[in-house]
Amino acid sequence: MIELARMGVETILEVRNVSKTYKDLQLNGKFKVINALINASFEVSQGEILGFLGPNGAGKSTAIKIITSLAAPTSGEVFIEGYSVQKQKELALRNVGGVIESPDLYLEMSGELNLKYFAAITGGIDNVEQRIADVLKIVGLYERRKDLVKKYSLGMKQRLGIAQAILKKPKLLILDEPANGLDPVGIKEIRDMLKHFAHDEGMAIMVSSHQLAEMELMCDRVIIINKGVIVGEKSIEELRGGVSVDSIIIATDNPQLAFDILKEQFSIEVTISGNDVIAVTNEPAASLTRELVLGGVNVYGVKKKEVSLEDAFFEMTNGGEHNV
Amino acid sequence: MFKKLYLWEIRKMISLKGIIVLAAIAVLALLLINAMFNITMEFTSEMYENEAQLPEGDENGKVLEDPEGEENDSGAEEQPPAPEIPFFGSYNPVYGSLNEDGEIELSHLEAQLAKADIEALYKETRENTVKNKYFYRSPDQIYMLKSWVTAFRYIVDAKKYNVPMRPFLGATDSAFESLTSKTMQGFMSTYLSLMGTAILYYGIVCGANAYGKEIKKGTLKMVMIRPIARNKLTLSKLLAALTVATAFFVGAIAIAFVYGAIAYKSVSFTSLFVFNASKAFTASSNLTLILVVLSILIQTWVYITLAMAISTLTKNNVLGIVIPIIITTSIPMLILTQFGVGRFLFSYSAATLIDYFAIGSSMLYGGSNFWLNLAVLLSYVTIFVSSIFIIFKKRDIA
Repeated sequence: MIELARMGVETILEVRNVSKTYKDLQLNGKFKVINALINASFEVSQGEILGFLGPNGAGKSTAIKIITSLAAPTSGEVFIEGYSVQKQKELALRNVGGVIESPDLYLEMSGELNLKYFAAITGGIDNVEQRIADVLKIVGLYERRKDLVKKYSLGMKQRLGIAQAILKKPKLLILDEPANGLDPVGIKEIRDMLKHFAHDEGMAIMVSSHQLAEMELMCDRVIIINKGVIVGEKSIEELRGGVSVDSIIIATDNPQLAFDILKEQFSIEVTISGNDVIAVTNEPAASLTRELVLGGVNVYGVKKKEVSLEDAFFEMTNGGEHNV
Repeated sequence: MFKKLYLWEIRKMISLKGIIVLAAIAVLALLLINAMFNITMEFTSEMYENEAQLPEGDENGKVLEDPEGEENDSGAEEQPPAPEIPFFGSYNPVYGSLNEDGEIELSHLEAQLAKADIEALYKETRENTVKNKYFYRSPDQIYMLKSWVTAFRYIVDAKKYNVPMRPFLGATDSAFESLTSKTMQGFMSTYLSLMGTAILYYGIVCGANAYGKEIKKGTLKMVMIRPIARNKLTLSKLLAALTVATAFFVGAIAIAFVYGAIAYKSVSFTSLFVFNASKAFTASSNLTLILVVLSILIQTWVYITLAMAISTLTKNNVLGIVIPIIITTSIPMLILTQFGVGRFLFSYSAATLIDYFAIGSSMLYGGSNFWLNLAVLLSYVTIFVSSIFIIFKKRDIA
């Protein structure tokens, strides 16, 4: 990543002021205008994995569909390798691979035949037979290549979905919920694979997921989207550091007194939760407990809570609002 | 790239299940037609025996000039040996026939013909039928009248009184005749009509699945994220569905031809056709077979565009299959013709092109003619095809 940056990374995907509005027919027969995406702009560069986070209905899928030409934006434009997806689809999508929503493949064909089909309609793949065999080995489906896809498990379909997406060694790889249906071992394999693609082969990867922990492990940068609006776009480090400081949870016999002492001595944000007080601060826990004990408060326990991406995410999306 | 896309679409449309079903139908149709031939031949032989009308040595049919059975034996002896004409129908007795001397017996038409006042007769017929509201929803009496007059005029003008000719009376009549004629042509015509129906349904399924199934199953989005222009994909799907149905039908023609040639004797004779009630001509009876084949192919093609349009519009392949099949049953046509719009209906325009080569076909509804019918059909196809392209070009893939 660092080396690539030095070499001068190339912006592969550029989303420029994209909005999407559609009308939804209501039960009362009237149309409700839904703003699925509002003035979204972001970029993905060569060699980075961008996470796309947001509650259900936030606009993630809409954005991905617009990027891949499945949906037309109401306004704005998407560029891939400098070509407009809306105006020059055939040029823009030459080096794009993806799995959108779910890996819906041809169930009545074998895994291998699926790949042959996708290779044929993608075009520009040298030595197709060999590449298909290689890709099947990469995703661990080589032994099952002759089986019909309808006999595959969800995890295997997910792998085959990734296989068809990387057939042409795309410059931009877009994956919707790639960890769905995979077991923990499978998830790790996919994560390592994607990191390899991005960091070693320079692929630009965009991943949407609701599995926040997974994003934290996989992505270099995340975009958080809520109600069609991009509310944050930061690196994992920035996100953890910039959203909130750590919290210290202190169990006491007198939370009210503890609250008053901490407020007075440290001028920090404190909340009471049952017998606990929660102090949001980067002060050492030892300083806080010393002051409390000196003030006559019995301290039964101290726990430090680190801010995770999940907390950052909830904070940025006002509590998530939706089930994520 | 387009070629690859097109060939893969064909591959996606041909399923092993579909081939097995069609092959089973192909074999069943062979058995069925053989059985039907035996039944109908017994039936028609009995008829001939009862009426004692079969010319000697002719086991299959009878000579045309004698529809009413008034011919005497001496007349037949003077003529060259009667050709084998596998036909036992007759000229329409309402409008007249030719007698042995080649004179036209036009019954009530004769007077008007003599006065060259056909227009008056048309007018009268039209007024009567329109007054009784039959004109637009029942067989076109005026068309029938015109075509018969054209046919008789042709015979008179071309002095073909003694030439044995069989009138082509339309698709329904043709199907009936082919069942009663144990010949290669009769077999092919019957077999291809049966297989044509099966292949029409297969074509409808291909057309409906082209987009409908892919939208429903979600595979379309996997295809649409490739660097392929939407119009190219649409064109490849449409052409693939047409190709698959046509290829199966060509296969059926080959089977019909080979089996027909082995099992039956090829018999052809002169047939009399009247195009669009205005132009009479004679041609080999094989033209009837060619017309039947073309009619089946055209119907299959236009129904494929309908199926594809419906499934693309509704995003549902089942509707794309069910609605065209309901339309093929002619039930909607029978209902809608009661409102006088029969001649503008899709199923009508698709099914009756062949009947505009027939003399007095009862398939034709009032107020239409070949060119109007063709224009109506082409309009439908244009609407279906352009709607597939337009809808698909604009639509967001869910």
